[in-house]
Amino acid sequence: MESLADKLRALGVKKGLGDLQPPSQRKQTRFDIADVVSGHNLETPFGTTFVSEQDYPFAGLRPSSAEDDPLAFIRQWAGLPSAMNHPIENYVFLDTETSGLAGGTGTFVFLIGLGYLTELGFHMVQLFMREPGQEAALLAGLSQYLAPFKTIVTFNGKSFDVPMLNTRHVLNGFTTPFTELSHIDLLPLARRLWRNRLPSRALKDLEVDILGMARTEEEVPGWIIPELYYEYLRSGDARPLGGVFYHNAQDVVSLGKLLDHVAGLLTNPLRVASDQGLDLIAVARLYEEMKHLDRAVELYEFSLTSGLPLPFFLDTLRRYANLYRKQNRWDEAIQLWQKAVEYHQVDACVELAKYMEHHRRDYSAALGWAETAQSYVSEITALNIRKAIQSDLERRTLRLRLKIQTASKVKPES
Amino acid sequence: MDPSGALERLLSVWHSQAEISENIVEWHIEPERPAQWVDFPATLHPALAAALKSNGVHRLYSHQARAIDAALQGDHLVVVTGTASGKTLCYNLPIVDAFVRQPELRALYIFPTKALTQDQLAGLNRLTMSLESRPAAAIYDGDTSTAARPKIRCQARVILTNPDMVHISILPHHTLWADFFRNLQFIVIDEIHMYRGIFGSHLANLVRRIKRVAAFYGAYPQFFLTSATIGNPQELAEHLIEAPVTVVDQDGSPHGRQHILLYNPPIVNAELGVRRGASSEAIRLTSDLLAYQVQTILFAKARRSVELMLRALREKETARAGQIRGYRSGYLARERREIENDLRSGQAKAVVATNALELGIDIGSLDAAILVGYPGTIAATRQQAGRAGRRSDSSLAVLVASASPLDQFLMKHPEYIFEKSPEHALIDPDNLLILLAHLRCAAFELPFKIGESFGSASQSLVDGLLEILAQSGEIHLSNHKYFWTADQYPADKISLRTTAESPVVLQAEIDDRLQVIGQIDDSSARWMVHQGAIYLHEGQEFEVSELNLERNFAVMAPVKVDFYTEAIQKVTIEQISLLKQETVLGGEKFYGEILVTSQVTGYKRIRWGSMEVLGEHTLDLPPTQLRTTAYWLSLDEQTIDLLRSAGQWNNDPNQYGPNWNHMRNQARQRDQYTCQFCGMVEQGQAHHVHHKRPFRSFPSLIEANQLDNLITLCPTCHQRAEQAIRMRTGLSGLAYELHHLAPLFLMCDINDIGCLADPKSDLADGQPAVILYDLVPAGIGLSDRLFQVHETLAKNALELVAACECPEGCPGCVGPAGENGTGGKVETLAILKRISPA
Repeated sequence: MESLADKLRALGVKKGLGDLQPPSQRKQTRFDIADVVSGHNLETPFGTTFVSEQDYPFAGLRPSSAEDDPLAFIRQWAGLPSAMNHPIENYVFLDTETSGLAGGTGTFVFLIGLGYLTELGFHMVQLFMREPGQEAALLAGLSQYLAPFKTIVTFNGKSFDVPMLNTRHVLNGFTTPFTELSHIDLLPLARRLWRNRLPSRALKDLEVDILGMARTEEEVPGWIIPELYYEYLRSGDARPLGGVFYHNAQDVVSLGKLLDHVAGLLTNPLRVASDQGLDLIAVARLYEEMKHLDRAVELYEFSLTSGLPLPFFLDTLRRYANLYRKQNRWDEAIQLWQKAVEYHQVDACVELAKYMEHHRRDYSAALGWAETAQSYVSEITALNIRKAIQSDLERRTLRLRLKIQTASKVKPES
Repeated sequence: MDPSGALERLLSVWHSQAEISENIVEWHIEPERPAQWVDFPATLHPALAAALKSNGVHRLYSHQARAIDAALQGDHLVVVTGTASGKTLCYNLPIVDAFVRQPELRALYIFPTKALTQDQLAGLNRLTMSLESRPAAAIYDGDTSTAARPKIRCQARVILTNPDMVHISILPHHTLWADFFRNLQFIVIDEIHMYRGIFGSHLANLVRRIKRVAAFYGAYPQFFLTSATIGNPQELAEHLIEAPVTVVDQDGSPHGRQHILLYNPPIVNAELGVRRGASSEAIRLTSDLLAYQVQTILFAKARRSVELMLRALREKETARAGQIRGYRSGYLARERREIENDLRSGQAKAVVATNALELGIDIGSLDAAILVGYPGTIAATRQQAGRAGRRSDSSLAVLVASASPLDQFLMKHPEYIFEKSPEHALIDPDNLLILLAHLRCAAFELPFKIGESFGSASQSLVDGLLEILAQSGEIHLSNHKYFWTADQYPADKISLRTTAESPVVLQAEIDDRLQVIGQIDDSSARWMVHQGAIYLHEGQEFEVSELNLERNFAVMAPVKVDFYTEAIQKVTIEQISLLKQETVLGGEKFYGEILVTSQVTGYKRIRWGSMEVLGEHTLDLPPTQLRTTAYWLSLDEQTIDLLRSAGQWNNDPNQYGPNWNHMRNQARQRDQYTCQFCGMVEQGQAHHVHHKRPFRSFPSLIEANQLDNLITLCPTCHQRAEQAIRMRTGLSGLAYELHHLAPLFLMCDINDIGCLADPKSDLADGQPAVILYDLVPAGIGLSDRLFQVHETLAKNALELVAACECPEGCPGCVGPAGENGTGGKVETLAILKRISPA
């Protein structure tokens, strides 16, 4: 009789049917994960999961004195309440390896790396699921290890790792541990800090460009990891997974180092990055948002003399002047706008015109700035923006001329 | 002006005008029907009763009350009542009633189109507006912004969506909906008659997946379905949700008098059986209606005809052009809302629409509906006719027939429209490919336990398919469960509206860049978008420059030409298995699995209008194979003998007679061994000799083989000549006829069925056979039903051909007669008489 596979093939199904192997040829060489990575079995009420532990040397992140709080700015940026100033030992770094990037209920986590500071340095715990059927044990183990901690630190964890782990908990009928933990996701922060300086803000690139780290030949690229796990499931040979453990551990260690670097950068930017003007203005913008205006002013001031590339120099002038404008510190603002006018900045001319019109009631001076703006407007390349500014300037000059006329009529009588 | 009085006056004018009334083959009057009122059921929550009263509803129609009773008893329900009969309240009332008592409950509403969803949300909100704690309802579909989604998932008690969204977004992320599923009490599936064939088979599997995920969260929802009138609403509903369903079909809503006219345009060429065009007749009728201020909707079958008729109507009615609107998919949502408002307010006097307006979008009731051509199903005919219909005043619906056999058949059999519908909506949820696709999705959503069932699909089939997925590594067996182990999101690759694995993407060069304008499945691509094909899209013609079947794309550019193209296909059929066989009058009927091998070998360019063949081109495309189910009818030896002795059998191979060789050589010599068309001289192989008038049309051999009826042609030119004057045989007439009539029983499009007439069929021991097959891999249940209704099909076919007035065959019966050939009507009729019960 015709088999189901033949029938499907006859119906034109190509996928999957061509490369079927007879079962006898498979699972010839079995290597358990314990033969590849040192570790032990963890017994949970829901079964067994594999755990590998290791210590890494680690300096940093520790406060130098009782008053020192290197994470204060990061906590503020992440929106954590200031009462959450628990010691660094309560932070855990987390990264997962998954069966794919597609998301949804069909993607699962098979390796979870957790890192935290101890007296010995940086302690790494990796929980591994030997079979998808042992997921409950993996998650139970995770909860056990997470119990002492109050804050998790991840890279893209808010969009990826944590939602996926939440899904896995729901599927196993468990309550997720993450609702009890505060969360610092370093990816959005890294984007804010290095958007202008680096071509990529991926963790592996930050390792090289920011932390100056390098991985050994053990490393496997992230995109190949799901396939390595599938192959392990099919063959029973865990040997290719050694590289996956290495990759995961490195990611977690990098997270620790990245947090250390970013904490230093936000606490003392001029010491950490005085040679990186772009980093400084990125930090200045964060300060501004967090209402540390004095710190922002200090960085803007410094970075304007640090040889920024022209577009960033002009952008910084604009922001810096704007900061003063909002505080009604007009003299400082005017000085910066005038600096910008040297570079034919239309918006600076407009700001000066507005200031003259509304604060000094000096319509002729205002008209002068507006006309200067008109003379620079052709240098704006974006057509839509140029047209909008042009028509705005036409309205502005018209209004100013009317005001000048009215004023000249009124004056003699008053 | 009183519209009802005006309409009645116009109808009496039509009645007295011979040039109109002689085309009206049936004047059916549906009498006025009073409302059957009942009081609110005592069980209805007082708050809801108060809300209804504040909406101006003080009593219910009898069917609504019956639906509520059944719903409160926990029955699954299908409501089958007419257009504008208040079907929505049948499910909204019991659901809102439950919400008032248990605010934490959730309901999922599934509508076949996005457009319907908007209207339904507004209706639900009107009902719940005055409730103290009104259940939050929200639309969740492809247009819902990513930012709004998390809030809707948490807060909405009623989610209104479409099947595609449930398939691709909700189920694969069900953990985000955990609360929703835990409390899911009701599922509404509206307009289930839309879910037939492939779409319906997908929907049945989607319901299996919804139930499976709901059960994971401990929920076993109650289903409320609605349907237009079809022959088998209960069967379809029970197939879709795989549970017993209570039918509510006694319509208690009031209805004014309705005139339903079947209008057959007059014959303008008796020889060819050509009738006046349905659209020009429809426009003529609409002009009259507009003159009497009767608000009218015209239903056209294609988006393109909407635009053509709209233009023609506006040109004819220049004074009213602004009050005549078009409506079809492709218009902007804002534009559509405006037209809907204008129709409700009466500002728009006429609208030309596609079936986009056939479903429950609220446009109020109009006075008249003109259906330009049979809409393809009786259910759609009734829905469209129902768009005209006032609660108390008279209304009018006119079906203007086109030339197709089915339209012509219905003109002679109005009982199919007015009495019991023969249409059965068919689905096959266990179609191998569709089932496999949904098992993939289901395995992604939740691991399969060993031995777990999937709806009512046979356990051995489910186990077998899971085993195959496991062997290919897509799922992995661990701890007695199969886990999804592929880095893929299977729902992404599965469209609920096709079975194709990898569709061909259509790219058009517009404004100097390639834009994707659509996609079609791989096997259709070969005959629709082969190189050189003219492809029609949104009324624009495109010429295809490249079809790449390896990378699944076709490139085309807009052109303006006066011809269309028609692919030349070579089809062969082999039998895979025989599942049913029965002796019938005149032969045998069969049902089984077949393998259809088709190859597009070339195409013709044909001039619009005159149908003149402008040229033929060859193509080098690989053959495709379709494995599917088929129904076939063979004729037995005795029948053929009887036909043969009566001179009514023209399917035998030609016996050219003893003098043929001699005459043939004479002709070649006369023509100097040169093809008389292309001038090619024989090289090694003898050219063919062709009968100018077909051999079969002569009473004797000697006359047929006269030298001046013969001409020498090279093989290529000979093939062309044969095609131009191919004689229609009785058998092919029969095939044409059955093929065109079959959709009436299957509720499908004629393009869903393939057809072949084979004078020496391998499927029937070399006997002549007509083969009809599902044009869907593995079949979808169409052939099986044809096997069952064979006798009725044959009887109806005989009646249609016998009643047709044409002399030699026309598009309305056995197909048009060839240019120089004969139509085969006599021969077809003779076969039909042998196979149809008296």
